[in-house]
Amino acid sequence: MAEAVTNNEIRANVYKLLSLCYQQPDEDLGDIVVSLAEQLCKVYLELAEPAGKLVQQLPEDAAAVQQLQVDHAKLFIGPFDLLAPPYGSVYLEEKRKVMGDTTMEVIAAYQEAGLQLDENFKEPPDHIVAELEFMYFLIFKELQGEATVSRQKRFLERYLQPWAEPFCRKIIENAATDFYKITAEITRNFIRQDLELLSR
Amino acid sequence: MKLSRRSFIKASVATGVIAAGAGGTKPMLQALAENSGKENKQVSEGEWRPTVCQGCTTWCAVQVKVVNGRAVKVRGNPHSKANNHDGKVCPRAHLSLQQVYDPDRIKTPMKRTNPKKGRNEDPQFVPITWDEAIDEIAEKFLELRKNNEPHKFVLMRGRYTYLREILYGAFPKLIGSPNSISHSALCAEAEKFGSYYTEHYWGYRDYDLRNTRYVILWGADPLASNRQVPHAMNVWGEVMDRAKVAVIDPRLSVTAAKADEWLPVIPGEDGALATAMAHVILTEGLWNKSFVGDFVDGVNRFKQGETVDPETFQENLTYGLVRWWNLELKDRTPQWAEQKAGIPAEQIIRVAREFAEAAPKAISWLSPGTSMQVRGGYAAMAAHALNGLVGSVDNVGGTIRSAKYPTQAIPSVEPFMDDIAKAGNKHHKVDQRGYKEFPALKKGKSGKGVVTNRLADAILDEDPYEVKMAIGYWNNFTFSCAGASRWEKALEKLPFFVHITTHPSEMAMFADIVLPAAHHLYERLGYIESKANTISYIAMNQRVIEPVWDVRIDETEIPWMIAEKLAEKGFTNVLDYFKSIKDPETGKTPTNSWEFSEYVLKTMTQPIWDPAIKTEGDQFSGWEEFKKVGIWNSEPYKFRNKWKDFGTKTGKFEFYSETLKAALEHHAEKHNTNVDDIMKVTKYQARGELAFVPHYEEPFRWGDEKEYPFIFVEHRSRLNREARSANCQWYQEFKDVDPGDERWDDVAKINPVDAGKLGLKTGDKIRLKSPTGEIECTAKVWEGVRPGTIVKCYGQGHWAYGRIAAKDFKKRMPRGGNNNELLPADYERLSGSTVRHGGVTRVKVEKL
Repeated sequence: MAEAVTNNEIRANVYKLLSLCYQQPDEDLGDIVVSLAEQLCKVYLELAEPAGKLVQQLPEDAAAVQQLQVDHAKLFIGPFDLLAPPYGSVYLEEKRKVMGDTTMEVIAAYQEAGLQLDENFKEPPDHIVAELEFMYFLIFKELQGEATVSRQKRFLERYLQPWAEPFCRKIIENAATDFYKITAEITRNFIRQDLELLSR
Repeated sequence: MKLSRRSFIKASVATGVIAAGAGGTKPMLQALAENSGKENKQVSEGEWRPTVCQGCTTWCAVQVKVVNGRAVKVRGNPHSKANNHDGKVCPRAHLSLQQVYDPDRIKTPMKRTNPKKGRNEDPQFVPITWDEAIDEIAEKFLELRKNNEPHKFVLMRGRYTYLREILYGAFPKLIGSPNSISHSALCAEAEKFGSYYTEHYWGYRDYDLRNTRYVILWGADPLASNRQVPHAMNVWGEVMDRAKVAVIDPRLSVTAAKADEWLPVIPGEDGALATAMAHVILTEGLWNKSFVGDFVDGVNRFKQGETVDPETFQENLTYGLVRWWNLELKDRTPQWAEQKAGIPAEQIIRVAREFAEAAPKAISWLSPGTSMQVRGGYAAMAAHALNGLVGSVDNVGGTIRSAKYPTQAIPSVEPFMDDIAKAGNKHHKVDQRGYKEFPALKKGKSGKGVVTNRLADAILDEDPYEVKMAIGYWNNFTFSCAGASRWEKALEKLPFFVHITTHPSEMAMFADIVLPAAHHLYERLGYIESKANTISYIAMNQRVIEPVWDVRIDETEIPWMIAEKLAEKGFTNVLDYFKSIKDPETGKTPTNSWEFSEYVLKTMTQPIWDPAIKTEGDQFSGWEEFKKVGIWNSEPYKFRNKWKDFGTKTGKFEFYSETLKAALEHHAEKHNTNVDDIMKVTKYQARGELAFVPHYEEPFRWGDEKEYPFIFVEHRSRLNREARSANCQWYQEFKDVDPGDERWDDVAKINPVDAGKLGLKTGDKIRLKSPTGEIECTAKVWEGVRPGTIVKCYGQGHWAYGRIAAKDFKKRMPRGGNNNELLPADYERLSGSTVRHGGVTRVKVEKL
């Protein structure tokens, strides 16, 4: 199976950059998005077009930045109607809550890989940012010579991919900006393809 | 946004550092970190950790089971001797698990970017850092102080722990504002009025349920709410074995459903029942002779319609019985009461007789249902006076108070107040307390009580002055105050509002800055004082889990952070004062907000845990042991201690309240008028000496009977965590545990007779209209309500409290309707209490 997995460096970069895309938008966003587009162009040709569009959606002035920040808050932070809860357990379990049983399993997966939540990261462990970063980390380890492909596949298949679908759907349905709609589309398709790749 | 800058990210990708083909580099991690190695395998069976549930006013000592850092279960603290026998607790505590892990919580400080405020304005909140938030708040304080108007700052408090002494007590004073405005008048100040102006007790009573032989519940529903719920649930079987229970409530409550007698009173007519029962007890010679006294010759002269010569009666521990009879009771026959209250005379006689025969082991249990009426103050007195007649006050099987709570005060702020602060504090409090029409006679003093709900009008009318800045914590006045729409207007007008809250709320909608609060049961430090089962107790709120989000303690950490920022900017007094509160064990000065919180807590509770200080009740070897146990229990209550001197003007239990007379006369004098005039402006009917005795008053109702044919009645839910649990799925799924209610819905309960006339059936969508507001909900045809009334539970109708609580936030569509949008803003003015019970408004029903 390991032979089937190529382009690990690009995969790692894409996971990391996607993770960064879900953080609160700041002055780094432009570079993140441009880099993401560059990375995707190299291998994921059908994602190159949306990635290009994403670059075009980058805010050009302060008002646009604020608009993006408001949209980001409404989708992923709240308050009031949290439009796209970025937490795995909300989708994977019946009760609409964080810190569910699947969250505990995700913590265990992190621990198995020698990781824990950073103390400055004030969100549940199955937050989209953390899970995308975890995939990056596993591939990074693979690049360093540690065999992690089966762990990658298991995590993606059991945890990230099943909720990334409805999560991205919620973003596409509810985002006020095209920026997040496109980000969601890229995320969903990339993760889908990556799982296929790992399952080959 | 500049794209040209070669940021760290871009450079990293370009050089392959993110993916790090090159060996030896480290992964670039933000959300995750390399394991510290200490707790590699943290699989554990879990541990029960002590804290406090403040989901209702019972304030139970509880324990949380924490497994691998996650809270999974709640139970009563087995060390509690008051409320939580064998670790039992009511359903509210369990609901809290869905509150603390609610994805809709406030997670980080947020700032509004749309300056326009209103229900239909989108605040456009964006996250900001704690430092940015606190900086902006500190600047506003300095601006007020620079302009010598620090009193234009208001601190609004809802629920609290006793660490309120910092944010609510010390902080505004040090800034220079007298305006610490509590929620208390929304709760039940009118109820306390009843016990204060008879036995001089401004507080909620405890009841000796285990020894009682008769319980009259005036609108109280202790198996479901208000208060000491778990204790009531635990002992009610025993109570029903030994005692009779009579419930006076227009609704078949949980407790009424199990009671011996149900008296579905016409709302607000409780005073007729109470005075008629007193009439029966006196005419039948059933009063407690050893407590009250007797006729000198032993011949009962209490005969219907006949006045009695006071000289013929020798009173013992009470005062003014004959005057009460002559002024009020002599004509209050059960037959008269039947006409008023709609309860058969024979039932009134039976309850009065059996209650008195059980004396002194008999409880007349007061609640907001009877007292929170425009004219409810005297009904509260009348209902409580029954305890005086049967001698159950402070007695075995009767109504009692609490033991002494051995805590100590934090140091005085006085030496830390500068001239600006001193001048600011001299202003009249902003809530209009003590105005001629708002006597708010807490503890006998004009204007001592709070008139919470009047604050909205004070802000809108700038009377007594403009409010420029406010902080609200653990409150949601836009939802919880009757006449709620006034609060929306008031908050629209307020130039700068900070809301500290665990959850998004109707009030946060109007905030300039929202700050995430630590949840009281899981994430904070604090302590509470409460009582039940003849035991008083002190329990500590503790951080039993690491919070998921970036929260702070409202009462201590946030003021500390503001104080630090103010000091940075040159105003050091607040921080200087805070730093004067040291660790009582080591003498250490606090260096951060958490240490400060802990030192305040340790200081205030020191007499409990410090073995060097001698106190009664549970003993501890030190702070660590107290933390581990989590609760201190008093010795069992010492009965009849108050009999020596109740503390009233006369030292006796007053049927003719010299205490109230003095308070009213003082208030009248302050406004250059007489008591009759005060009665008039406070909407009471009594004139002359009637104002000083418990007496019947016709209920004051909004709305003309012809246009608004139904009397509106609201009640509490056994699942309400003070209207904060509507975003919990379990709340909605189990809503039908409230008799007559439906899951995932908000119903108005209507008697089949009325429903038939209106052509309504269960499930019909309806609109309720009062003279001041309207709401929409679902009709429920149910036998458990008195014909002529519409009964609806409080708690639903949130339009901004999270995904589950609101039906559609985007359209501001609530799930059901908030009763407070229907209820008018009116008051029991003698206590300052807001009113919502006793059928304060009439309504009409429209089918949608």
